[in-house]
Formats: sequence, C-alpha cells, structure tokens
Amino acid sequence: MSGDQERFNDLVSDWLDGSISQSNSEELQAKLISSEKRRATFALACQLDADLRLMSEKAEPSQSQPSIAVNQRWNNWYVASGMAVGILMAASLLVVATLHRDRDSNTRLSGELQGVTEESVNFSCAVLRHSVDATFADGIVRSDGDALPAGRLKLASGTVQIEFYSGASVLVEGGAEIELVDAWEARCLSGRMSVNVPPPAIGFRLKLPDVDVVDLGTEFGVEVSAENSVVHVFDGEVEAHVEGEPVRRIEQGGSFRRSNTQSQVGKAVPGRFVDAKAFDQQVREETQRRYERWWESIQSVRQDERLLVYYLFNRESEWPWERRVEDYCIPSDPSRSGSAVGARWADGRWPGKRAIEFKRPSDRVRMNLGSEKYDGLTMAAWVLVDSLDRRCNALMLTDGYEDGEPHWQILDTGEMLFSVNYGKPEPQAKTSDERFPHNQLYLSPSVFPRRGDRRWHHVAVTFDARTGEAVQFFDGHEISRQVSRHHPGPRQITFGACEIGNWGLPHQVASVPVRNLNGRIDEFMIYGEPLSPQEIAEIHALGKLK
Amino acid sequence: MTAPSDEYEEFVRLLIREESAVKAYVRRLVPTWQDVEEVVQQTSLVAWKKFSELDDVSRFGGWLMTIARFEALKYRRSLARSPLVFSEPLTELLADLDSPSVPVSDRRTALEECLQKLSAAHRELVLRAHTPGITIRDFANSQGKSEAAIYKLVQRVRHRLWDCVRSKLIGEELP
Repeated sequence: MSGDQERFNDLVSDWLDGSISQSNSEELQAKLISSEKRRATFALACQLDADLRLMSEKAEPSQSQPSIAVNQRWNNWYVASGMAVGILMAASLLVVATLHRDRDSNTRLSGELQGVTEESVNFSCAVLRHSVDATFADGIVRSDGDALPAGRLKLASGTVQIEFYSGASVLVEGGAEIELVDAWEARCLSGRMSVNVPPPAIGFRLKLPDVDVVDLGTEFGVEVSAENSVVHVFDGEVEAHVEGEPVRRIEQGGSFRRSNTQSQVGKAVPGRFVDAKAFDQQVREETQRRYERWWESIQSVRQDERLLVYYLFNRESEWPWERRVEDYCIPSDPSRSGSAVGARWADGRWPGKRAIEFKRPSDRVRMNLGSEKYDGLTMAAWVLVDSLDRRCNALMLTDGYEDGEPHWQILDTGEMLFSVNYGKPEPQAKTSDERFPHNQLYLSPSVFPRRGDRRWHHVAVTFDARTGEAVQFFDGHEISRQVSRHHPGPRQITFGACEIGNWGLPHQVASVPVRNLNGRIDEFMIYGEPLSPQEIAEIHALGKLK
Repeated sequence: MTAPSDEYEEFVRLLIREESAVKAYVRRLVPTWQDVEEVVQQTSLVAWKKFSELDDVSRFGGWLMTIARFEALKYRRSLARSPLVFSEPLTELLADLDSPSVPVSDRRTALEECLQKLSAAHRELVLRAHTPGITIRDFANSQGKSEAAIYKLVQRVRHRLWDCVRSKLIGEELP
C-alpha cells in the first residue's frame, strides 16, 4: 500500500471518528474533490462504517462474552433484526410524529419562519464613516465603512466620524474614549468629541460622567477630563440632566460645566473642537494623499515585464458607448484592453478610486490575451463580494475550458477554486485517475462568508505549469499550496478569449451555467509567471496603503 | 395513527428492508452517526407522509434514497461550520456518486468473511469501536489503555478490513 493511500485512509478514519482537524479536513476534501476513485473508496468506507455500527448496535453489549463468534453474531442480528428493528422503527415513527404535531400547534405563530433560512443577526449600532490618520488603542485596524458593535472605543490618534444607526453623528478626536451603548446612546468617557443630530435622531443621548446630555436637534461638543465635564452648544439646544438637579436647557452659544459637584453655565467655545467642515477638508486631503501615494507606488508594478494585463477600472471616458477597460501595463498592448458588457462603474476601495460592478447574469468584462503560451501564471484582484449567489462565482474564466486554460472562481462555500484543464484522457490509461486527469482542481479553505462581507479583499493565485503547483492567497497571506495529483508533467497555460466576472460566450450553442459575480472588482492583474509569496504580499500591501 | 393499519405495516416492512442501505448511504453525507440517525428518522417521517403518493412499491428503495438525499443535504446545510462538515459542492458530489453496484448482501458477506480473518481480539476491538454511543476514549478507559494507542490500533485494523472488503468486492488490491 502506498504512503499516499495510507494517508488517505488515516484521514477518512479521522473523519469517521469525528477527530479530524481543520487542516486535515481540508486535505481530505481536496483529495475527494479531485478524484472520483477516491470518492468511491470513501463511500465504501462509509458504508462499511455503517454496517459495522449496525452490527455492533444489535450485538450483545455485555463484556462478559468477549469472544462471541462474529458469524453467529452477524446471523443473530440478521435474523433478529426483523422484529427488533421493526418495533424500534415503528416506535420512533410514532414518537417523531407526535413531537411534530405538538411543535406545530405550539409554535403556529412563528411557524412561518420555521424552515426558512435563519435570518442573519446584526449586533452593531454604528458605522465608522471616515477616519483620518486614526489609530485605536486596542490595536485593531478599522476601515471606513466598518460596522461598530456596542462597546468601548479609544482613539489613540487621528480623528474619526462615527455614524449611529439612529442618524446621530459623532466626531471623535485623538485621545478620546467613547462607549457605544446602542443606536440612541453613547458615553463620552474621556477626551473631546462633537455631535451632530439631524431631525430623525432627536433624543440621542450622550452621557458624560456626571451629566446626561439629551439632544433636541442640534450640534454640540463635549469635553471630559478627570476634573470636568463640559458641554458646548453650537447650534440648536440640548437638555443637561444632572442627578438631583432640575433639567437645564442649554441654548445655542451656551455651555454647561460640571465639576466637583458644582454646576456652572457659561459661553460655548467652538474653536476647541474639530468642526465638521474642517474634518471634511481633512478627509478630502487624506483621500488625495492616499491616491497619490498609491499611484506613485504602482508605477514600478506597471513596468514589470511579466505583467500581461493590469486593469484598474478607472473610468476612462464619459462617452456612454465607450466601454473600454484600459490596460495599465507599460508598455501597453492595445489588443489587451478589455470591454465592459452590462457591468457598471462604481466606487472602488477608497473615494476617487473606481471599480466595476457585476450584478446581473449578463454583466462581464471581455478580453482576449491571444494564443501565447506561458509556463505559469499569477492572477491577483481586489474584490468586494456582495453575496455568493451561484454555486461558482466567476473571477476569471476562459471561454469554454480547453487544453491549458485556467479558471478562477469563488464557490458558494467561500472557498477559492482555481482549476486548469489539460486535454483529453490518455487512451492507454489503466486506472480511473489516469483516465480523467484533465480537470485539475485546487480548492482553498473557505475565506468568504456566503452572504459576502461587502469588504475589499485581495485575492491571488499563482500556478506553475511545469510542476503543477498552485498557491492561493487571501489578503496577502498564503491559504493553500497544492500540487494536483493529476499533473501530467511539464505543461503550459494559455488564455485566449476570456472574461472577468462571468463565464460563457454569446455565440456558444451549448447552455452555460450561470456564474456571474455579485460584487465589485477594482483591480485585476494577470502575469505570465508564478510570483513568489513575498511578491504577492507586496502587491497586497501596495493596495492597502494604510 | 389514522392511516389504515395494513398500509402502515406495509410501509414499516419496506422501511426495515431499506434501513441499512439508507444509513450506509447517508453516512457519507453527514458528520456523525447521530446525524445519520436523525436524517434517517426525518427521512422515514417524510416517506410515511408521502407514502400514499408512491404508486409502485417496487420502486420504494430508490424513492426512499431520493428523499434521504434531499433530507441529508438539507440537514448538512443546517450544521455550523466545522472540520467534520464537508463543503457543499463536495457533499453534492458524494450524494450523486452512484452507490457501488455491489448488492448490500454481497457487501455484508464480504465484511463478515473479512472480520473472520481478523484475530478474535481485533474483531472484538473493531466492533466495540463502532458501537454507537461509545467513543474511543470510553473504550480505551475500559481497557486501561491510552486513547492514542487504542486509536492507532483501531485505525490499523479498520484499514485492513477496508482493504480486504475492497479486494473481495472489486477484485483488486488498492493502489
């Protein structure tokens, strides 16, 4: 028995016994996906497992008879099973039927929801709208657009704008600590922050250590230090609640200070706070700087001779019939520019960066990379997944699936699937593995949630056609490295006509499964060689720019 | 039960006949034996509800398998992600895999013959390890041996058994 077979048996055993680890499970699944023969072997092992369990179930469990002849045991079971199992099954059927009826009547109200896929639950109460040079004391990197759950948030430096789901918006300055309670309430634990409350959010409450500030539709700032809690009202009015004292209304231009159990009313000092206008300007400048830094950093990437295609999806033309997707390689081969079909332009990773959005089964970007052959490839893309609607969700697929052509997709399980087709079965092949070597599948662990997380992720795959090794990456990290057991020895890959975000040719006669992506892509690179993990990490870092 | 009792008896008789075949099929689609039992129970419930729609009882076996396939995939989707839960595409591949053309009785005979080839101690071991509700740990404790040692031994014996059954059924040694 070969070591490979032994390994496979061990993995199957671990799975049957319920003791398989995550990485071993991935290995087993990859082996099963890639070979029909393995699946048949697996199915038989499962059948035998069931047989053995049924035998053991019916066998005398007493340890005092340790050596009953199996033959007898088996026959006993066989003969006895009619009665015993019959009674058992009939009984369990009745029990189940009764339970079911009870449940039906008890939960009629919620009955409609039963059987429907569980709705997802949201624990967040606010969203990080914008941040400028922001770092958080807990070390967690948060991006604009991230949902924020209830809890404390300490800003070490920079400025952030938090939008509560009620509509209230809070500008938090570096050094301040805020506790998000829910969509209608927050606490300022220390530092400075200013609050803007539009009409739908009137009643939003900001608690300071000694004062509750209830907003009546306005803009105000608060400052909390060890000695003082101060409220400055810039616009509209607020109510200041202090325990044991009458409620005070503080009007525009006024302030309220509470220190050492003393309350004091005074004038507002707006200059102490970052106002919305200044923050907006900061956001603009930061965006511009970011874009410039990124643009500068990709210039050397554009000149990489190994690069075949570099799409940035920045809309080139305002003409509605101009659907060209420009290739940013230097020098650029005009025949490699793509063409958007159906897909629309949308916002990319940050303001100012554009992306292309795929929504409908007709949406795609067409391209043709010619008949050149390569010893390997690298594909890398920034992608935002709205939802994994299809069993296979296209990143890049060649038309059809001919000899040497690669396909790159995300499965609805969130796994990345890279595959290459290598020709027809060998006629002289003896085993089934050899007879069906053409489709080489490389499956990564699951990295996307099925419903999509609507965040930008960097995905990449490198493939060496000489060795058959494919390495997959997610956000700059290697997530799988496999050599297909079907790899037929040194080969090459080729692209020809292909498309991003979908699969299928308009003039193809045969029906094609629907595989359109539901999401956006704002950068897509294809190299004619496998890059190193180090290089992938660098490309990822360039695009992150944080 | 409001159903005519002869219809019910007929159903139970057919169900008993197919029970082990269905369990053997469902085993590859869900992670644990307990899951198998649940799926098969749900399957029999659905089958009983729809039994009157089945015109030809000689098709009962295939009909029941179709229900089991559906119920197993539905059940699998309800499970939380774990190393024991295979990806959906793989589960579907496994669900669609034609059950080997070997009749259940041949498989049992082969298994029985292969069990006879084992030593009495190993036979006992492998049967005990497959007793529902008994974990390898329980078994190791009852034997006063380490879990890892028992585990390795069970695996080895089990693999011998698989290879033996395979070669009997398919007439070939494993590659």
